[in-house]
Amino acid sequence: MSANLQQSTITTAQAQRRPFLGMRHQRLAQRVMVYALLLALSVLFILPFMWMVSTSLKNSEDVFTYPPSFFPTTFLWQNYPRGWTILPFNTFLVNSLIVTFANVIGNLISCSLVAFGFARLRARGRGILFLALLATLMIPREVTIVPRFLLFSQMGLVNTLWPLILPAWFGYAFFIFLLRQFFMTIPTELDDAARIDGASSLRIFFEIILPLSKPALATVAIFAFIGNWSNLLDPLIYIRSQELYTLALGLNLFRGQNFTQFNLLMAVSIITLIPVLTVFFLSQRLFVQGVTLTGMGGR
Amino acid sequence: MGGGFDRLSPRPSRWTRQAGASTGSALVHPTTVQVRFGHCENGHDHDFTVAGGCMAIQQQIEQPAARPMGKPKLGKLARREEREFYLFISLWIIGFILFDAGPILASFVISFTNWSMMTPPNWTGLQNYQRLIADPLFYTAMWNSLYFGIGSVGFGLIISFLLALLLNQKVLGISVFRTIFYLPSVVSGIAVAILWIMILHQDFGLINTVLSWFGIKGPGWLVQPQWAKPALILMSLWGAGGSMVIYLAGLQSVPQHLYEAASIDGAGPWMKFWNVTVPMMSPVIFYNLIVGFIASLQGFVLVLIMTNGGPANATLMFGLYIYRVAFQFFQMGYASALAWILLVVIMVITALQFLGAKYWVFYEGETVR
Amino acid sequence: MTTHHEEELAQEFKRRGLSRREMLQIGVRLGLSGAAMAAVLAACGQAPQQPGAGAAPTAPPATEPTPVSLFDPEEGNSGWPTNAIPDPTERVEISVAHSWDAVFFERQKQFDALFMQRHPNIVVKAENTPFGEYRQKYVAQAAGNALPDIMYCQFSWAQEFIKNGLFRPLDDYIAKEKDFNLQDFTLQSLVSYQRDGKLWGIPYDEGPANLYYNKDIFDAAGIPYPDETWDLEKLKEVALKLTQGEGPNKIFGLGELPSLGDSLVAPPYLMPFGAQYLREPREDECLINQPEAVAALEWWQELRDKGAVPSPADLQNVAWPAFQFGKIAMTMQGSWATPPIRAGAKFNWDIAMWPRGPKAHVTFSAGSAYMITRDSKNPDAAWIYLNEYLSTAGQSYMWGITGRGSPARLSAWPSYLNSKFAPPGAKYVEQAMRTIASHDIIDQPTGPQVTQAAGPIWDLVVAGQLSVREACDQVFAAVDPIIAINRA
Repeated sequence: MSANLQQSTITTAQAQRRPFLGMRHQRLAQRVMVYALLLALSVLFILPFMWMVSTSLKNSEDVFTYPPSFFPTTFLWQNYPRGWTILPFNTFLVNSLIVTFANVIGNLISCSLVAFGFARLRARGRGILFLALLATLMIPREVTIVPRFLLFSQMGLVNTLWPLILPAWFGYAFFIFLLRQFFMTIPTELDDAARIDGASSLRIFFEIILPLSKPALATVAIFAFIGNWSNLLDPLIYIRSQELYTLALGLNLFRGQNFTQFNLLMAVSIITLIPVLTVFFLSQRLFVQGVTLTGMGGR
Repeated sequence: MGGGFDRLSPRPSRWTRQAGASTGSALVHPTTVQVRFGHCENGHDHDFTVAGGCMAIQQQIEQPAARPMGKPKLGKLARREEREFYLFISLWIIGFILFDAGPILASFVISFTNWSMMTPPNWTGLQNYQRLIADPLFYTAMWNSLYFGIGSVGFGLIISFLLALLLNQKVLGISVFRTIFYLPSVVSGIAVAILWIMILHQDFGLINTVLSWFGIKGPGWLVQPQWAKPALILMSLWGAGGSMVIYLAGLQSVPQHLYEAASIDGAGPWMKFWNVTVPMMSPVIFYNLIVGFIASLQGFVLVLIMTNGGPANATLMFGLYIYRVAFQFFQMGYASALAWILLVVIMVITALQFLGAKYWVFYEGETVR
Repeated sequence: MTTHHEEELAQEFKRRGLSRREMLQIGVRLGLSGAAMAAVLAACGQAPQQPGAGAAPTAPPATEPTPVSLFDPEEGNSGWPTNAIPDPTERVEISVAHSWDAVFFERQKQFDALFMQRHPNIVVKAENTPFGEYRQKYVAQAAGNALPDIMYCQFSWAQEFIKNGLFRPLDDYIAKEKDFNLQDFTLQSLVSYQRDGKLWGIPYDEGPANLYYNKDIFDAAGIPYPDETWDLEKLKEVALKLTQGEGPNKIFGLGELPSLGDSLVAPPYLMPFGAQYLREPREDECLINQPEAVAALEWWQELRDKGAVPSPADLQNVAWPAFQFGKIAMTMQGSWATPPIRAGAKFNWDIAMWPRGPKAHVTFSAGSAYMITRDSKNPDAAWIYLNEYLSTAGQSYMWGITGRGSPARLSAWPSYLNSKFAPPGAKYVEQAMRTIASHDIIDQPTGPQVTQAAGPIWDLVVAGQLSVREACDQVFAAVDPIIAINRA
């Protein structure tokens, strides 16, 4: 396994030890194995999505067959416009976009700044503050959500989008911790060299740390996007007017006390998944080796 | 300088240090690290109270500082650095005071009351904590969560790491494959439930069918109490997409030249994996370990969809129990007491992990100068 | 045939807008010519058993359908009651919290629009919250003293919320209204919302449990359908007879068995044998370890031992009720199961009365209500709304003619029974409500703790790891300390 896992790192030095043809064959064999493995696992990972697609295209009587069918047998595309228009999903979409983008941007800015402080700058009290940061993750939300609701209620912000947006601009412990870990994998020698040249911390942050952390920042962006896009609890608690509902909240309205419109639910779910998958897919471009980092090595 | 040495993992090989060596920091010979390693073990031989645990985290964070901490007189540069630190993290401090500190403290105070959320609370002193000690479900839920946490985080760590390695291959269409592998983390919970009911079905599920080829009669995974938790762990592995993404990002930060250096020294792929990939990824693995534990000890979404705590409380997770007590029994006081005990447990586990991290987590960019 | 289907279609729009089939058909109706529609109807409606691949080429409409109402807002817009409370002289706003599914909420908005026409000075703000999250949301609002003026409340939380003072008593308002007629509600439907001698909410629906049966399975076995002559022995006998087959195609005689984790278990399963779970209505004593209770549960257990009921892992976690899959011959369900069964069942089915037991003929009934909250700024306006919303006209408008069924007012039942879509056996639902329904279910504030303590013990019985007798003893031991508080 690890032979092909490290396939991309086989160096010329190693390659030279082998006959040329043999290496090519080996590479081909590795490639075939990688594809076989990827395809086989993909089937398992894509099945529930296929069930969503096939359910979204069914009529009500066919939604639940037992055992379930994972591939569509009917193609009732009308479920999509019907589901989308049954509630003001266009409005929900706009609200979700506002909340999600405000969160992604807010989280990227605030969390990277704070993470840089924790990763790179020494100060008294840093340890205890990091502990407090982690502690905010350790207390289950079920018991802080009501006090927090009361807090926003005191601020007069209930039934606005602000409670869903504001906190993101002040950092989120999961992301701060994540970025700190990544920043700490970047050699300090780079900072030192820059400092000798008179660079300020802010410049080091912008010109060394951030460019070298693109994959980590992309990860935070993906998580912030998906987390807020599918967040049900906060909109549930803070939002009362339907004009301010988000997609996740709207989607859940398909689930009645005694009755769930699974085909419509799945149709709208798939529509709302498209932005998520697009963002994930596009972010893959940022998942490349930090160029500078590779460049500085080996000397 | 010694403080810095403590933090070196015994794993990082000559190759991982070469990056630093080339730009001027002292070359650390692996044997030196081993010596320090042994020393640390004795040095941190204190027992595990919460305070001890907190100290461990604190030490781990503060240790990189080469100068003695808490010394009243700081140099001009150090003072500037300290000012900058507080400027950089100021956003979080404001947010913490505004949005976090209040609710967290409130939940602590509430844990000494009988608050139903609907009427003003009455002070009940330690009553909730006394009830907790006598509550068998408290122990059941704690055990279930620890079982599930260790199982899902342990196996999840390996599976998602392997997936990330697989998806780090530079082959055509890899972005598509990554997206597919990430799907389970975002698709609807019902779709997931449908799939797993089919996979885990006692009579004609996929797993038991495969087992029957080998003459093994598979259990009723979600029906029999003793098999429900392993079944849930199995399910959780399949949603490893989240940590997979983090590993993928981590793999991009492993400098290529380290592999090249290793190759020149004649290391095979296995050696490179253990001596370059793993140590360089250790901060990310560490993150997934910490966060994975926190999430799995609190989380209950999967359980809510699949089993709702059953059968026979075999999957009554701590998070689910807190949720029930809070929003079905309307006993927020007791729920808060449960939550604070969980906080303590998570803190101890996290502290243990931070302590252990000294011996295996390797930071290329330590704030040591 | 096509005409028949079109008519049915039109009716179904008005009826509930709950099922997916209708939804697709609306799209079809809007987007397609008559001929194309007939083709689609033929594919979807007349031959639902065939995978509708044939429908695909004709299905996509030429233009995207514009959203239309599933319900005719004017149908049923009459007969509104008089109000003893005068309308406010200035504009006031009232907020009303519902928990409707997305489609039915449309009918709600229609009602509200008509109401605001009749009462120009009352602005109604409807809030809609998914059922699963409803409690969490509004308990948080209660903590912030920000409850809506009117809120939905289910029987199982009503006593807890009333005890905590969330609502206002309604007796004084009711006394003033000459059209109100409290006798129109069955006694059982009111019990959940009474406390300390006062009424705190007005029920909107009330569902007695009945026997739903799959006619196709009965026909195939040549067994006559359940009728008034049936007793529980007959039910057991037929359930065993109808249980056939293996693996995914197995047919189960009965859909479910009693579980002590179910707050509704006593009336249909225990009381017919002269047994009870807790002493009602105060729920201050657990009776489950009494000989008659143990014997009744053992009597039912025989059906599990003989494989006549599906295991809980079969079907149950995903879609409710499992009956609609067509693998279950008979099932006991509250009348609220009718709409989902109508939407999902691809077979002939009907409803019968729950059979009589050796000691009594009894079934449960339970429902939901609307209350005026303590935080209401305009309780008078809120009352005017409630008075009309839950009047005979209001219940017919909302639940009768839309086919949702089970209105709490007996006078609203004809509107449901006369709708073409009430199954023939719907009359037995009403009959059960009038005759055999009992409200001796677990609904005191200790209820959730009782069922969540007993349920896991009962799981062991289901898994075959504990005998019924031992389970009853363990449940008694677990439940008794919880309900001790009710003895005070």
